[in-house]
Amino acid sequence: MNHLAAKTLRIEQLQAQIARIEDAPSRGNITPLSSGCPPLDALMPHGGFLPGTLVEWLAEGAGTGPATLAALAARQAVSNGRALVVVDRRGRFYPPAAVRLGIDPQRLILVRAATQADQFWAVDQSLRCRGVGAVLAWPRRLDAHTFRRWQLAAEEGGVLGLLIRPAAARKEPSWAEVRLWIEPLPSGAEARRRLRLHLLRCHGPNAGRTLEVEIDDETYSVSPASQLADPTAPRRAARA
Amino acid sequence: MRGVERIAACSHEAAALGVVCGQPTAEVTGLNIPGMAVFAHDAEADREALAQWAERCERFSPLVGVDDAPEPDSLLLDVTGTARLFHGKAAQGERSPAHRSWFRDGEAALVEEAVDLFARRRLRVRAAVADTPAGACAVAHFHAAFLVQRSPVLLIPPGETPAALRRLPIESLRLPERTTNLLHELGIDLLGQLAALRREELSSRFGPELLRRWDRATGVRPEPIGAVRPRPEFAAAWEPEPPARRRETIEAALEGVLARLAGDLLAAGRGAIRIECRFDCLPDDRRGDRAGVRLGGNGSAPEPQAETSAGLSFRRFTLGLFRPTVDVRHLLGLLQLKLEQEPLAGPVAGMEVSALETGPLVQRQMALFAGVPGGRHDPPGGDAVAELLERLSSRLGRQTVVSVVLLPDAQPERAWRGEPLIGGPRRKRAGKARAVELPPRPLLVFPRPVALRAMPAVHVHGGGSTSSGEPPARPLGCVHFDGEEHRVVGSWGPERIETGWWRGRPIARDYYHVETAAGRRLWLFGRLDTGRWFAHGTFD
Repeated sequence: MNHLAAKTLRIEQLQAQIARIEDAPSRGNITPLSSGCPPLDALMPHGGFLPGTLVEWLAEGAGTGPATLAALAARQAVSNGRALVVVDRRGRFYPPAAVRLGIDPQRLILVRAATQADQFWAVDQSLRCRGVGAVLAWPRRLDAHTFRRWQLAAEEGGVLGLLIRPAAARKEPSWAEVRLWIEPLPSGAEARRRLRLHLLRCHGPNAGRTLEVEIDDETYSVSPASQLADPTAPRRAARA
Repeated sequence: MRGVERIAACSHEAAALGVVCGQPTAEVTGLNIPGMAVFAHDAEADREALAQWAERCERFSPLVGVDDAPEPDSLLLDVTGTARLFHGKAAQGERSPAHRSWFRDGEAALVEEAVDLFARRRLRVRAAVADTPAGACAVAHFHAAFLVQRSPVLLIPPGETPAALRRLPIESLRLPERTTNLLHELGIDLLGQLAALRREELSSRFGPELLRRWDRATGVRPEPIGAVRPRPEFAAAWEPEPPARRRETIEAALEGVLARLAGDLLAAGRGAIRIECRFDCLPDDRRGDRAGVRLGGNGSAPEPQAETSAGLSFRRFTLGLFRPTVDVRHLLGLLQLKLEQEPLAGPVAGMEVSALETGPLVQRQMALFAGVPGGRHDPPGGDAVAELLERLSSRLGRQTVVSVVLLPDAQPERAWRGEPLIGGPRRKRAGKARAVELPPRPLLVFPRPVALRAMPAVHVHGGGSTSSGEPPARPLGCVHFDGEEHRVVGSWGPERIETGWWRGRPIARDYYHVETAAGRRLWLFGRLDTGRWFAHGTFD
């Protein structure tokens, strides 16, 4: 075996080792969930989101699409009979749209929390619950302590936590396994809306990658945008 | 005289200083008695306090009521048969000659304990035992033993109630004022004088009410006591002596009480669906050290609003359960959450937990099957979710934690309803949700449509046109919304939504799904009647 081959082998071994370390030991046999967005799944190291972790969706302003993507992920997470808890503090969540998107209303639990403290507590409790598949919430401000508590709670309950947050949260530290920044793109008056997803944070080699997707509002199917993502997009650090 | 404040009631001490009920308040405050306090009379608060004391007296009798006067001031207890359960000091040697049989001893002990219960809250009461509720009430209000000798207790021996009543003034029957005045005019002041008259004459001259009251007082006509509240079938209580202050003690006791309740329920094959927990708190005399009695709660917890009245406060919590349960740890956890939200105000002198509603206990699903949709009472995700729902509902309120029910209503705001998942009438949930064949709906909708300041110069021709007025045309141009200006570059629609005139406030809107130059997607509508534009939701 020549020197180069030995080196390559060694690198492969180390890579495997890193992958093992990066996957917390408790996640040994957890089956990943599809994000409901096939082009995104393709970039995830496990082919989807892991139950027991948090996913952050960052977006600036209204009408930019994070809730749709999060709801698609939630639909996958509750397809096994578990419950979806939606903690809505501002009274804006519109369940008929979620049902139209394919979420069974019988699995839907809506918590209309009145205060931030109630919201924090309700999310924490729901993430801890083994019967829950996913928790969807819109925490605007999230202190590091609460964030960490949620991450541990999600791990305990094996629940997927979907957090929709303002783009300004990019500068804040994160306990999420995956952090995505969503940027709307003009569709050119097409019915299918276009979004650019920046994978700000995730395990594996694809952190920092950007992809463009199209969502059909009739069927909620997500497909890669007809034009490939710009490979020259600046790479971002995997960890904030 | 109208408009003059008068004294409604006063303490013995005040009476000793010459204060008389009915005296104008100004005269009394003018006396400048040191240590005197004057409070506004609040009949409703008195009534509530009395009702609370009635509940507290349920330890002496299964049937406790409040007298039927317009401003009631008496508690009525049916102690038939319960007296022998009490053995006070009287039975243990300090035997007073007046009470000879063990039966009388029991009554004396019961009354003594009852008076003591009030005395511990610094309340002075008069207790009378007689053959009839009205008789006891009359004796307690007007008997010389109370008014002259200031004795706290009077037991009228069985069968002697009519005789005792004869010496009381006619006011003790609580007759209408007109009747009382008429009797006085005729020189009839005592019930004995009344009893000497012929019944037919009484009835014809003073109406049937007089005889009815008299017969009730003497026991000729039975009078039921209207219970303040029906006794729950399952209940357990704890009364520490001295009152408990330490959180650990109270929690341990609560667990014990719950365990007893659960034991009774289990024996009957039932589980609790609704539980009421009542804490009986003394006023906190250690103001500086409130934390000592706070269960859970942190320093920032809001001051509890307890139902306070003369020296006591009741705290009542109600728990709703998703399905019948006898799980003590779970119930304790839920009550602890409640207590964290509203800490107790002072040392606990008593607590009672009752199951207000129960249901047959079904075999709990094994954890193995959690998540498999089963019976119709099963929440999504099984037992774990049932417990989560109970926890969320206990702390955040029933109305906060809801399930979604879709309604066949064209108006988007009314196309769904949230129904509390806990408590409330148990109803068969709708089967599989019907497929919703609607045009796309936004995931976020404003609770009220937001009026758009300036809508679009609109020119392109609208979707459908109707005969009624001028429908707003397709939106194009700039929208001021959310503090920003958005230029609409594309729109899909309209989707016309109209409701019938019979709906009170019918709507007629043309909805458009629009895209802005920045690629944002909004849900706008134009009112067909006014032509004004609103943002109703965002495709987030």
